[in-house]
Amino acid sequence: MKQSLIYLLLFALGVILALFGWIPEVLLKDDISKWILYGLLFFVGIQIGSSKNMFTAVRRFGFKIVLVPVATTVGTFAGVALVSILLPGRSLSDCLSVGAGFAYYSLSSILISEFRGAELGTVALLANIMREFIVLVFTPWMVRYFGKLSPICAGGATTMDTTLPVITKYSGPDYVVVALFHGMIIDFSVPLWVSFFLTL
Amino acid sequence: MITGKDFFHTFVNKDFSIKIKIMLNIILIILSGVVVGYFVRKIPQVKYTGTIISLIIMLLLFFLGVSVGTNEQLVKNFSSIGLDALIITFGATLGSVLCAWLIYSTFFKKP
Repeated sequence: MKQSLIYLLLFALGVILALFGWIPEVLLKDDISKWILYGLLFFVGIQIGSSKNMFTAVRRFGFKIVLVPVATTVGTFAGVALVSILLPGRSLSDCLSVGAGFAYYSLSSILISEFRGAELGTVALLANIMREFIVLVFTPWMVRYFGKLSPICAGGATTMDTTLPVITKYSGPDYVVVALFHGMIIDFSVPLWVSFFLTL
Repeated sequence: MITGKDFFHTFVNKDFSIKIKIMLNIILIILSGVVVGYFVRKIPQVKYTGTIISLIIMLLLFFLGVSVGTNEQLVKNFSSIGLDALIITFGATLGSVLCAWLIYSTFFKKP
Protein backbone atom coordinates (compact mmCIF):
# COMPACT_ATOMS: atom_id res chain seq x y z
CA MET A 1 0.00 0.00 0.00
CA LYS A 2 2.83 2.37 0.90
CA GLN A 3 4.58 1.60 -2.35
CA SER A 4 1.41 2.25 -4.38
CA LEU A 5 1.18 5.66 -2.74
CA ILE A 6 4.78 6.49 -3.65
CA TYR A 7 4.10 5.46 -7.27
CA LEU A 8 0.99 7.58 -7.40
CA LEU A 9 2.80 10.56 -5.86
CA LEU A 10 5.62 10.34 -8.41
CA PHE A 11 3.08 10.24 -11.24
CA ALA A 12 1.32 13.27 -9.74
CA LEU A 13 4.64 15.05 -9.28
CA GLY A 14 5.39 14.53 -12.98
CA VAL A 15 1.98 15.94 -13.92
CA ILE A 16 2.38 18.97 -11.66
CA LEU A 17 5.95 19.80 -12.71
CA ALA A 18 4.90 19.53 -16.35
CA LEU A 19 1.83 21.72 -15.83
CA PHE A 20 4.04 24.45 -14.44
CA GLY A 21 6.58 23.91 -17.22
CA TRP A 22 9.39 22.99 -14.86
CA ILE A 23 10.73 20.09 -16.85
CA PRO A 24 14.02 20.64 -18.68
CA GLU A 25 13.63 19.80 -22.36
CA VAL A 26 16.47 17.27 -22.28
CA LEU A 27 14.17 14.93 -20.38
CA LEU A 28 11.56 14.98 -23.12
CA LYS A 29 13.39 12.64 -25.48
CA ASP A 30 11.46 9.64 -26.82
CA ASP A 31 14.01 6.89 -27.02
CA ILE A 32 15.32 7.09 -23.44
CA SER A 33 12.05 5.79 -22.05
CA LYS A 34 12.00 2.88 -24.49
CA TRP A 35 15.39 1.61 -23.35
CA ILE A 36 14.50 2.05 -19.69
CA LEU A 37 11.33 0.06 -20.35
CA TYR A 38 13.30 -2.76 -21.98
CA GLY A 39 15.62 -2.82 -18.98
CA LEU A 40 12.59 -3.03 -16.70
CA LEU A 41 11.18 -6.01 -18.61
CA PHE A 42 14.53 -7.80 -18.33
CA PHE A 43 14.50 -7.38 -14.54
CA VAL A 44 10.88 -8.55 -14.37
CA GLY A 45 12.09 -11.69 -16.17
CA ILE A 46 14.90 -12.18 -13.67
CA GLN A 47 12.45 -11.88 -10.80
CA ILE A 48 10.21 -14.55 -12.29
CA GLY A 49 13.09 -16.88 -13.17
CA SER A 50 14.70 -16.69 -9.75
CA SER A 51 11.59 -17.34 -7.65
CA LYS A 52 11.11 -20.82 -6.29
CA ASN A 53 7.49 -21.10 -5.13
CA MET A 54 6.10 -22.18 -8.47
CA PHE A 55 6.53 -25.95 -8.32
CA THR A 56 5.88 -26.50 -4.63
CA ALA A 57 2.46 -24.92 -5.09
CA VAL A 58 1.57 -27.24 -7.97
CA ARG A 59 2.67 -30.26 -5.95
CA ARG A 60 0.50 -29.30 -2.99
CA PHE A 61 -2.77 -28.45 -4.73
CA GLY A 62 -2.41 -30.65 -7.78
CA PHE A 63 -3.25 -29.68 -11.27
CA LYS A 64 -6.46 -27.83 -10.44
CA ILE A 65 -4.36 -24.88 -9.22
CA VAL A 66 -3.76 -24.06 -12.89
CA LEU A 67 -7.50 -23.32 -13.20
CA VAL A 68 -7.14 -20.24 -10.98
CA PRO A 69 -5.09 -18.05 -13.35
CA VAL A 70 -7.22 -19.38 -16.22
CA ALA A 71 -10.37 -18.19 -14.41
CA THR A 72 -8.77 -14.78 -13.83
CA THR A 73 -7.85 -14.40 -17.47
CA VAL A 74 -11.13 -15.64 -18.94
CA GLY A 75 -13.24 -13.70 -16.42
CA THR A 76 -11.32 -10.47 -16.92
CA PHE A 77 -11.47 -10.56 -20.70
CA ALA A 78 -15.15 -11.57 -20.77
CA GLY A 79 -16.06 -8.82 -18.29
CA VAL A 80 -14.05 -6.17 -20.13
CA ALA A 81 -15.48 -7.22 -23.50
CA LEU A 82 -18.96 -6.84 -22.05
CA VAL A 83 -18.46 -3.38 -20.55
CA SER A 84 -16.62 -2.14 -23.64
CA ILE A 85 -20.11 -1.76 -25.15
CA LEU A 86 -20.55 1.14 -22.72
CA LEU A 87 -17.40 2.79 -24.12
CA PRO A 88 -18.13 3.53 -27.78
CA GLY A 89 -15.12 5.85 -27.97
CA ARG A 90 -12.67 3.02 -27.33
CA SER A 91 -11.92 -0.03 -29.43
CA LEU A 92 -12.34 -3.51 -27.98
CA SER A 93 -8.62 -4.25 -28.27
CA ASP A 94 -7.74 -1.02 -26.40
CA CYS A 95 -10.14 -1.95 -23.59
CA LEU A 96 -8.77 -5.49 -23.44
CA SER A 97 -5.18 -4.24 -23.27
CA VAL A 98 -6.16 -2.10 -20.26
CA GLY A 99 -7.89 -5.11 -18.68
CA ALA A 100 -4.83 -7.27 -19.41
CA GLY A 101 -2.93 -5.16 -16.89
CA PHE A 102 -4.48 -7.42 -14.21
CA ALA A 103 -3.86 -4.72 -11.58
CA TYR A 104 -0.18 -4.58 -12.51
CA TYR A 105 -0.67 -0.88 -13.14
CA SER A 106 2.96 0.20 -13.31
CA LEU A 107 4.09 -2.15 -16.02
CA SER A 108 0.84 -2.14 -18.03
CA SER A 109 0.47 1.65 -18.08
CA ILE A 110 4.05 2.11 -19.20
CA LEU A 111 3.79 -0.50 -21.95
CA ILE A 112 0.50 0.92 -23.19
CA SER A 113 1.87 4.48 -23.18
CA GLU A 114 4.78 3.30 -25.25
CA PHE A 115 2.49 1.74 -27.88
CA ARG A 116 -0.62 3.92 -27.80
CA GLY A 117 0.28 7.21 -26.15
CA ALA A 118 -0.22 8.72 -22.74
CA GLU A 119 -4.02 8.89 -22.94
CA LEU A 120 -4.69 5.14 -22.92
CA GLY A 121 -1.65 4.74 -20.67
CA THR A 122 -3.38 6.90 -18.08
CA VAL A 123 -6.59 4.90 -18.41
CA ALA A 124 -4.52 1.78 -17.74
CA LEU A 125 -2.80 3.35 -14.75
CA LEU A 126 -6.06 4.43 -13.12
CA ALA A 127 -8.03 1.28 -14.01
CA ASN A 128 -5.40 -1.07 -12.63
CA ILE A 129 -4.79 0.96 -9.48
CA MET A 130 -8.54 0.85 -8.88
CA ARG A 131 -8.50 -2.92 -9.29
CA GLU A 132 -5.84 -3.31 -6.61
CA PHE A 133 -7.73 -0.90 -4.39
CA ILE A 134 -11.01 -2.82 -4.82
CA VAL A 135 -9.31 -6.02 -3.66
CA LEU A 136 -7.68 -4.32 -0.67
CA VAL A 137 -11.03 -2.91 0.43
CA PHE A 138 -13.65 -5.48 -0.59
CA THR A 139 -11.88 -8.81 0.05
CA PRO A 140 -13.91 -9.73 3.18
CA TRP A 141 -17.13 -9.16 1.26
CA MET A 142 -15.92 -11.08 -1.83
CA VAL A 143 -14.86 -14.08 0.25
CA ARG A 144 -18.23 -14.17 2.00
CA TYR A 145 -20.33 -14.16 -1.16
CA PHE A 146 -18.07 -15.61 -3.87
CA GLY A 147 -15.72 -17.96 -2.05
CA LYS A 148 -12.06 -18.01 -1.10
CA LEU A 149 -10.70 -17.80 -4.63
CA SER A 150 -12.53 -14.60 -5.53
CA PRO A 151 -10.01 -12.08 -4.11
CA ILE A 152 -7.20 -14.07 -5.75
CA CYS A 153 -8.76 -13.85 -9.21
CA ALA A 154 -9.76 -10.22 -8.64
CA GLY A 155 -6.26 -9.35 -7.42
CA GLY A 156 -4.62 -10.40 -10.70
CA ALA A 157 -0.85 -9.94 -10.68
CA THR A 158 -0.82 -8.35 -7.21
CA THR A 159 -1.65 -11.55 -5.31
CA MET A 160 2.06 -12.34 -4.86
CA ASP A 161 2.85 -9.02 -3.19
CA THR A 162 0.53 -6.12 -2.29
CA THR A 163 -2.75 -7.97 -1.85
CA LEU A 164 -1.22 -11.14 -0.35
CA PRO A 165 -1.65 -10.06 3.30
CA VAL A 166 -5.36 -9.36 2.95
CA ILE A 167 -5.93 -12.59 0.99
CA THR A 168 -4.06 -14.56 3.64
CA LYS A 169 -6.26 -13.03 6.31
CA TYR A 170 -9.65 -13.67 4.70
CA SER A 171 -9.12 -16.71 2.45
CA GLY A 172 -6.93 -18.40 5.03
CA PRO A 173 -3.28 -19.52 5.06
CA ASP A 174 -4.15 -22.57 2.93
CA TYR A 175 -4.61 -20.27 -0.02
CA VAL A 176 -1.26 -18.48 0.26
CA VAL A 177 0.42 -20.91 -2.14
CA VAL A 178 -2.48 -20.50 -4.57
CA ALA A 179 -2.14 -16.72 -4.40
CA LEU A 180 1.63 -16.88 -4.95
CA PHE A 181 1.39 -19.30 -7.84
CA HIS A 182 -1.45 -17.32 -9.40
CA GLY A 183 0.38 -13.99 -8.98
CA MET A 184 3.47 -15.33 -10.64
CA ILE A 185 1.64 -16.73 -13.68
CA ILE A 186 -0.45 -13.58 -14.15
CA ASP A 187 2.59 -11.36 -13.60
CA PHE A 188 4.39 -13.12 -16.40
CA SER A 189 1.37 -12.96 -18.69
CA VAL A 190 0.76 -9.20 -18.33
CA PRO A 191 3.38 -7.94 -20.82
CA LEU A 192 2.50 -10.75 -23.22
CA TRP A 193 -1.25 -10.08 -23.24
CA VAL A 194 -0.85 -6.30 -23.27
CA SER A 195 1.50 -6.32 -26.25
CA PHE A 196 -0.70 -8.93 -27.95
CA PHE A 197 -3.84 -6.76 -27.72
CA LEU A 198 -1.95 -3.69 -28.83
CA THR A 199 -0.79 -5.35 -32.03
CA LEU A 200 -4.37 -6.22 -33.01
CA MET B 1 9.15 25.93 -23.76
CA ILE B 2 7.53 22.58 -23.67
CA THR B 3 5.05 21.91 -26.38
CA GLY B 4 2.25 19.39 -26.08
CA LYS B 5 4.58 16.80 -27.52
CA ASP B 6 3.76 13.38 -26.31
CA PHE B 7 6.78 11.72 -24.93
CA PHE B 8 5.58 8.18 -24.85
CA HIS B 9 3.98 8.37 -28.26
CA THR B 10 6.67 6.42 -30.02
CA PHE B 11 5.02 3.63 -31.93
CA VAL B 12 1.56 4.89 -32.69
CA ASN B 13 2.11 5.91 -36.27
CA LYS B 14 4.30 3.03 -37.26
CA ASP B 15 2.94 0.09 -39.21
CA PHE B 16 1.83 -3.32 -38.14
CA SER B 17 4.99 -5.31 -38.88
CA ILE B 18 7.02 -2.99 -36.68
CA LYS B 19 4.54 -3.58 -33.84
CA ILE B 20 4.89 -7.34 -34.24
CA LYS B 21 8.65 -6.91 -34.09
CA ILE B 22 8.35 -4.88 -30.91
CA MET B 23 6.08 -7.52 -29.35
CA LEU B 24 8.63 -10.24 -30.18
CA ASN B 25 11.36 -8.03 -28.69
CA ILE B 26 9.36 -7.73 -25.48
CA ILE B 27 8.81 -11.48 -25.24
CA LEU B 28 12.48 -12.23 -25.96
CA ILE B 29 13.69 -9.71 -23.39
CA ILE B 30 11.46 -11.18 -20.66
CA LEU B 31 12.39 -14.75 -21.55
CA SER B 32 16.10 -13.94 -21.49
CA GLY B 33 15.49 -12.39 -18.06
CA VAL B 34 13.76 -15.58 -16.92
CA VAL B 35 16.66 -17.73 -18.12
CA VAL B 36 19.26 -15.46 -16.48
CA GLY B 37 17.10 -15.34 -13.33
CA TYR B 38 16.96 -19.13 -13.16
CA PHE B 39 20.75 -19.46 -13.31
CA VAL B 40 21.50 -16.68 -10.82
CA ARG B 41 18.73 -17.64 -8.36
CA LYS B 42 21.24 -18.85 -5.74
CA ILE B 43 23.30 -15.65 -5.81
CA PRO B 44 22.26 -13.55 -2.75
CA GLN B 45 22.27 -10.24 -4.67
CA VAL B 46 19.23 -11.45 -6.64
CA LYS B 47 17.08 -10.21 -3.77
CA TYR B 48 17.72 -6.63 -4.94
CA THR B 49 15.83 -7.29 -8.19
CA GLY B 50 12.57 -6.14 -6.62
CA THR B 51 14.14 -2.88 -5.47
CA ILE B 52 15.64 -2.22 -8.90
CA ILE B 53 12.24 -2.86 -10.51
CA SER B 54 10.53 -0.43 -8.10
CA LEU B 55 13.10 2.29 -8.80
CA ILE B 56 12.78 1.94 -12.59
CA ILE B 57 8.98 1.97 -12.27
CA MET B 58 9.12 5.15 -10.17
CA LEU B 59 11.25 6.81 -12.85
CA LEU B 60 8.94 5.72 -15.66
CA LEU B 61 5.75 6.69 -13.82
CA PHE B 62 7.25 10.11 -13.22
CA PHE B 63 7.87 10.37 -16.98
CA LEU B 64 4.31 9.20 -17.66
CA GLY B 65 3.11 11.96 -15.35
CA VAL B 66 5.21 14.46 -17.30
CA SER B 67 3.71 13.35 -20.59
CA VAL B 68 0.21 13.63 -19.12
CA GLY B 69 0.95 17.09 -17.73
CA THR B 70 2.36 18.38 -21.03
CA ASN B 71 -0.71 17.14 -22.91
CA GLU B 72 -3.45 19.78 -22.55
CA GLN B 73 -6.12 17.58 -24.11
CA LEU B 74 -5.43 14.91 -21.52
CA VAL B 75 -5.49 17.29 -18.57
CA LYS B 76 -8.82 18.71 -19.74
CA ASN B 77 -10.41 15.25 -20.09
CA PHE B 78 -9.01 13.74 -16.94
CA SER B 79 -12.38 13.05 -15.31
CA SER B 80 -13.82 11.25 -18.34
CA ILE B 81 -10.62 9.19 -18.52
CA GLY B 82 -11.14 8.27 -14.89
CA LEU B 83 -14.71 7.19 -15.57
CA ASP B 84 -13.60 4.98 -18.50
CA ALA B 85 -11.00 3.42 -16.22
CA LEU B 86 -13.63 2.74 -13.57
CA ILE B 87 -15.97 1.06 -16.09
CA ILE B 88 -13.19 -1.18 -17.43
CA THR B 89 -12.11 -2.14 -13.91
CA PHE B 90 -15.67 -2.89 -12.91
CA GLY B 91 -16.03 -5.33 -15.82
CA ALA B 92 -12.62 -6.91 -15.24
CA THR B 93 -13.10 -7.42 -11.50
CA LEU B 94 -16.68 -8.65 -11.69
CA GLY B 95 -15.84 -11.07 -14.51
CA SER B 96 -12.90 -12.58 -12.64
CA VAL B 97 -14.82 -12.81 -9.36
CA LEU B 98 -17.65 -14.72 -11.07
CA CYS B 99 -15.21 -17.12 -12.75
CA ALA B 100 -13.46 -17.60 -9.39
CA TRP B 101 -16.80 -18.44 -7.79
CA LEU B 102 -17.50 -21.00 -10.53
CA ILE B 103 -14.22 -22.91 -10.15
CA TYR B 104 -14.27 -22.58 -6.35
CA SER B 105 -17.68 -24.18 -6.00
CA THR B 106 -16.88 -26.84 -8.62
CA PHE B 107 -13.31 -27.88 -7.77
CA PHE B 108 -12.06 -26.40 -4.50
CA LYS B 109 -14.83 -26.28 -1.94
CA LYS B 110 -14.85 -29.28 0.34
CA PRO B 111 -18.31 -30.79 0.87
